[in-house]
Amino acid sequence: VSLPDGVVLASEEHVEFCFLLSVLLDQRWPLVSRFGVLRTPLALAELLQAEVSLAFVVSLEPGVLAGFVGMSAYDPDSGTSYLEAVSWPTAEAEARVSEVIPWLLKTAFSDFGLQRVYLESYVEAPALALRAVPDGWNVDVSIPEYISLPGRSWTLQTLGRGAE
Amino acid sequence: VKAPEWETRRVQLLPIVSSYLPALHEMENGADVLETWRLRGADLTFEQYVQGLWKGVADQRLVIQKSTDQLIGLVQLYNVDLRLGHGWLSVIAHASVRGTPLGFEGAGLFIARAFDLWDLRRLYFAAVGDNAAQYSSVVRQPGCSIYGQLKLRAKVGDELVNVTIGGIDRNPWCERFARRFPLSETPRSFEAEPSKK
Repeated sequence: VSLPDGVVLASEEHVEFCFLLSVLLDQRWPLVSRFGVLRTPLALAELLQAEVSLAFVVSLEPGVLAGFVGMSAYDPDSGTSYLEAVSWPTAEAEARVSEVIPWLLKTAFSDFGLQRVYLESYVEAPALALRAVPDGWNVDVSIPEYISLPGRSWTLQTLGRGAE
Repeated sequence: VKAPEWETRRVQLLPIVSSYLPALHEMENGADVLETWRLRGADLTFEQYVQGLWKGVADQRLVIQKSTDQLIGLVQLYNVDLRLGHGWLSVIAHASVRGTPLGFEGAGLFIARAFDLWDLRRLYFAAVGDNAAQYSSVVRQPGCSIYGQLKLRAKVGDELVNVTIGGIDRNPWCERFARRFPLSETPRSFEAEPSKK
């Protein structure tokens, strides 16, 4: 697989950035962050290793990281996996990560051999990956009140798409 | 203070006691469930199986038929998220009771136990392929919903099949449960909530 410019496989050296990102996203979206609670970098690294099958780091420029894209919950039997994308919460970083998402989606089918890719997104706060690739998805599962708090009720959807 | 007995007239929930482990291993590795149950075709030795029994699992109980002392099922609560108030439920029934009311009786009891002991407002479940049909009587109960199907998410044999995702909401289920199950000793939670009787 050839990687686009500014995209590298995530490794141990990116754990600190990922940790900062999780902390920052927790502060912005206390109940929506991928990671749920504040963790130590080591604990976060272990979590990522357990849940994420493949992760790439996206850079704005050398030494300036914009975010991550990757695949999680890979099932080799069915050839399915979940698309993941998260960015530093600035317009510039979001735009940079969004550029990479179509590449990852295409690569997932063509090079990784996936048959179907899923994406989790809240109706009330569409995921970055869905905003980057808004078309071609089917809503497989829709769970109302996935988040339910006084004054806040969010619906989680799992969208799916097959190889094109 | 006496702990509540989690039992009905016909079944009881027991902790994972070692004397039932061989029967449990045999039940979970049966050819009839191996690909659709959580092991998903993994051919584990007995030792490997026992070591992984609590992986990701917050609570689990054996379902024992009281008249025979036979293991007829396993019920599990896993992937608990106390912040969202969610947990996931898995149920396996022995082939001898699968699809029968007895097969689901332990599950109903365990759901009540999960809602009683854990601060959860909803339990989710996933059914692979044709297993979804076994939940047809469950999803007609108050508080139960099917949220959709992950298309082609699992492989059973040579066939790609859908995975059905459903959920059970706490309050309607507990109200229904208190009326339906012939408890020999009512769990404390229901005694403490007279408005739900």
